Amino acid sequence: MNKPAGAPSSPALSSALPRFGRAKARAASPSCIRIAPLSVSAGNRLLVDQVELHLHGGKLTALVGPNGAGKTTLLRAILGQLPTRAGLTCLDHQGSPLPAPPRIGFVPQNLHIDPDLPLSVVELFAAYGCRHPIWVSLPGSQVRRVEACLGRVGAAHLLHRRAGALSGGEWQRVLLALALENEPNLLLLDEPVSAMDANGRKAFYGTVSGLCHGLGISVLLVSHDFDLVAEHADEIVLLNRSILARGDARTVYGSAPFRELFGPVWSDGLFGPGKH
Amino acid sequence: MPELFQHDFMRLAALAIAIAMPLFALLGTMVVTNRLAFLADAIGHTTLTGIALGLLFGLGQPLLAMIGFALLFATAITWVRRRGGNSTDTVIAVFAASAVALGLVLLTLRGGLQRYAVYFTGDLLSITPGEIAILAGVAAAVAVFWLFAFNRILAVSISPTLAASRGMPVAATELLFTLLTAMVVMANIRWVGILVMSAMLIIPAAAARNVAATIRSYHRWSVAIALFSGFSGLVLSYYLRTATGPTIVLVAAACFLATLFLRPRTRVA
Repeated sequence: MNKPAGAPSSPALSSALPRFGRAKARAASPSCIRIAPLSVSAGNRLLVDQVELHLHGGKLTALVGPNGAGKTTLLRAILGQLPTRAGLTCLDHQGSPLPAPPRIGFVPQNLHIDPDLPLSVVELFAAYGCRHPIWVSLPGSQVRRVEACLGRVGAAHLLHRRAGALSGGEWQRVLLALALENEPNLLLLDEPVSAMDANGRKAFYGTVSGLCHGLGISVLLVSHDFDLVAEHADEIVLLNRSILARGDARTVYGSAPFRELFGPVWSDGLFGPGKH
Repeated sequence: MPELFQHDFMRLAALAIAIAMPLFALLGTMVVTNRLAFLADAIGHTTLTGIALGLLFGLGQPLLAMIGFALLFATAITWVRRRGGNSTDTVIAVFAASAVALGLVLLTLRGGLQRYAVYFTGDLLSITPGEIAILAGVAAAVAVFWLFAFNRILAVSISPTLAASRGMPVAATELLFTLLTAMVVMANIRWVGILVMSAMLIIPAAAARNVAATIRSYHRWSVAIALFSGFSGLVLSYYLRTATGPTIVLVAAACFLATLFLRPRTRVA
């Protein structure tokens, strides 16, 4: 795995953990989050058909599929933002259900912030995570907390920058840190890198998979970057309303439904004669 | 004491400005951020409708009917906006224009339109202690709301999806903010005037955006510019014998122009 310079390594991650309650995270951390078979329809159109997922702690699951395949719909159902809610259960190591629902962190797709909004990064975090009115003052404890959060994604230097003036890559890192702020055990990312160049994407994927493995979080990531997904995902799920293929990159990209949807380019490019 | 503040009406006017301008400044920060200028305008335009309906149903105090109708109107608009769709703007325009037309028709029917012409340009110098008491009540409500709900309003405004993923009540937050704006507009409309109401809410905050880099400085600049415009507008209107509301708006607009040139390209807080 290629680690970018800015990505935290595992020791740094574990040393950042005590501040966020390592004991609590370990004790409550489920080994797997199960999404019960889920169907979502709008009117008489079936958008998601009997999709069942097991998202394992410390594993990165990538959701790929053509436009309109129901990827974002699935995420919104998991987030509980649709009339049909996904049934989420945390399972322990023996596979028996835990009482608490998973804590979910979410990195939305194409979140554009008004470039003229006078809002610093630390204030952005406080708006989502703290009750103290940020227009009055910012408590020092909150500032230190946000700094530690940003540190986990290699972005501590962005603390006092204006949110609207960040580059696409910096902004995406800030949103990732924001999603991790409340110690989620399930992290959802909806095409997080669409506003970044190739190097930025590579670095971002490196950070996400580093966090996923280092913190033991279950990650579900919607993506169109087949090569980066092949490099970083532990499991790839091909969705086109229902699940058409799942497994490692070789299995999914080589499957008949994938070749039918995307052509043989990807499978041959990644696993062609020279790479077998 | 300067000569102009020896008059009771000037002291009352100054008190009203001291209460109302910070109110506009606070709310304005989020009215601008949420692009709700049109809403403030539309709500202001329902004033005459509220008055007319109040007369129709025999309510003695026009302010109650005005606030009641404005809250109803704001709720309806919020509902239409939430439903979304391409024709949202059109539907709201139809709503707003019809409300204005209904008010004008009802008032002309009874031959009382002239009596309410003051609502168009506003009249600060005839403000009564009773009206100031109501204004102070609304200001207290806004201050409390702003202390407890500002973070949430901002979070919802940046991304409703992200706010919802944190368990924030998105629809309720949007509705409360709109209702609060409607109340503030109605509590001030008689002295500000329908024609310049939205400017009072928008300009101080818009000018503050030109110079602020954080939410905190955004609020401070907005309040400072609003108070400065309010008091200098009052003094100017006294000596120039002009309508106070529009004079305040002109001073605020001058502040906006001045800050426009201070605007840096990139900023570090």
